Amino acid sequence: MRNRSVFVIILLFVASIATLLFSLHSGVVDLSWAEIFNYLCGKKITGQAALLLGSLRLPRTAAAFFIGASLGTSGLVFQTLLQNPLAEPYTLGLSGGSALGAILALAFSLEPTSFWVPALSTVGCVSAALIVLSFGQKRINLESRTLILFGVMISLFLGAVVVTVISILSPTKIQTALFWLMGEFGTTRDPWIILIGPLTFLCFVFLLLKCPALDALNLGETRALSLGFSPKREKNILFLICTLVTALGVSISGLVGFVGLVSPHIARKLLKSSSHRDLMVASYLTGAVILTIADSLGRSLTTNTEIPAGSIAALIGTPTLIFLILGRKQNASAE
Amino acid sequence: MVIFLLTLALANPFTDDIGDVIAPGARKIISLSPALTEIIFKLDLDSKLIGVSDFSDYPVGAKQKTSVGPYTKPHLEKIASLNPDLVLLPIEGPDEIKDQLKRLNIPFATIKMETLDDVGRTALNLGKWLGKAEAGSRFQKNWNEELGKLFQNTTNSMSKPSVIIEIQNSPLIVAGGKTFLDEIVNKCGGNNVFEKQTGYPKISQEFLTIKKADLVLLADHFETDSEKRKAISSWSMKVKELDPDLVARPGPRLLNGAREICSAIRDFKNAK
Repeated sequence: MRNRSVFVIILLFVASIATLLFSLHSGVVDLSWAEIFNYLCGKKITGQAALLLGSLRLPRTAAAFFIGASLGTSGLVFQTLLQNPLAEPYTLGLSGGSALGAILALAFSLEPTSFWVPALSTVGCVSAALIVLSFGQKRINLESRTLILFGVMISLFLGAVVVTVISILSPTKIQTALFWLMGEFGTTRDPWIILIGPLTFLCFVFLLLKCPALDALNLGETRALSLGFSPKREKNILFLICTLVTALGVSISGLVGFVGLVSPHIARKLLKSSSHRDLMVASYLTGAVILTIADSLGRSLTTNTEIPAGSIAALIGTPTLIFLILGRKQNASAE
Repeated sequence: MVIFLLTLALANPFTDDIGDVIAPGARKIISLSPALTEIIFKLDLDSKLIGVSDFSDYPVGAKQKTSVGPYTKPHLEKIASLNPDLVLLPIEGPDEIKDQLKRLNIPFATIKMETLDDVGRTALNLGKWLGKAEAGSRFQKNWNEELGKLFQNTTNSMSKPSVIIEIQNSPLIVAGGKTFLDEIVNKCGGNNVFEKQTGYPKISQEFLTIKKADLVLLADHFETDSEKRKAISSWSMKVKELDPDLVARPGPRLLNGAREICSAIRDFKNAK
């Protein structure tokens, strides 16, 4: 079992490197592999290739990679904490909060948008999570069904507010708002990844250290308590860290759904393990691979415009997951 | 830095419509508006045009230019790969594009095309910036003269029919005040029902029926629904369809669009 985990993680790591290179190579302008490798090695290349790689492809590739990874990781933690396979980073109303923050920044024409949209979306996301958690505290100690219920209600309410605000925006702002809601890369927000990428990685390392607590929580709160973990305290910490990771990621890309939901499931199918340490690394890399590939395809499939990474991620992720589930069932029945 | 910018501004008198300095003599330009593309062709500057936005379909030569996507979300890699000296942006475009071009150090000019004067002035500016000052000046002179002739006999008329110009049916968008269409309606002797709402407001169908205009002009690119036309006919005295390409684009062909609008208002008055 351990060998399988090591093998899968090495495989995902190699896939991540290959995906990063694929992303740097993808686009409407053909760049040679030599140019890409020379650029990465710090050698001199033509001005146009340097501009395309340095100012456009590298920031967006890094953004897609780190945000995919963040969503994958927080998806896994939320699924464990809420004991629900359908949980994802947006289950607690985080998407509604982020969307409202971003749309308000657009509605009030806060300049520069490349700062205010991510800033307010982060504030909105964290605020929504805090509201849901505070409601949850008043009920039975962050009981998962109650949290999901509050999360869905807050999500629906904030979604309605977002739609109301969008309906009074000017046509150009509506367009910007819609692209943000669909999840996109290649914006002026991408360069923020130089700050947000390392921050989300630090959160990932912290979550890795919390894997024993997650393993214990996975067995139920009573068992976790008997193993020396305070379920309420651990849940609060983990919720807040995952909210922060999601908020930071979403502030750059806009709402990218699905990756957070499907990455942990793919990781589980590949690893066939319930160890959170292995699952965490695998979910991190799977999320990163899915979103980086989705963004690469989104900007290469059509020549004149781009398809949002969020929709491509769903298009490739759903069949992959169904294939994995069906494959496992067939194996089980053959055995 | 301030002294440097001041010196640059004094040495170079060319600025765009938001006051940004434009370096003259660009040889490779990209137009992100079909109307700007039409003006560039009219000034015989099309040899410098290396890229256009979607819907830049007139004149025929525009279709042969490389498309860089819709102006609301152009393909940035494509623009960067064409290595333009100047990108022409309509002022109403999203700020995101301007920020991206700034980040990539691609020079751009922001152009306001909201009034009839703006069209002539833009042609004049493009001529100056791109080495065809005389053609630009000629365009502006001709533009002003032709519009002057068109509006000469209509402004003093006493009866002013109320007019609605519908730009889009779903959602319903009409021409409001401070637009070139509002200006044309007024100068042709009509009264724009939505002149108090500036720009191109989105309104409800019910609100449209309450307004009960004398004349509804349809300039919808995407819909020529006979049922809708019938419905409007039930509460409006007259409905006329316009060629959206002529009336919605603030370019050279707007002159013909203005003639269509004036003729519709004149016909309405004559029929009364």
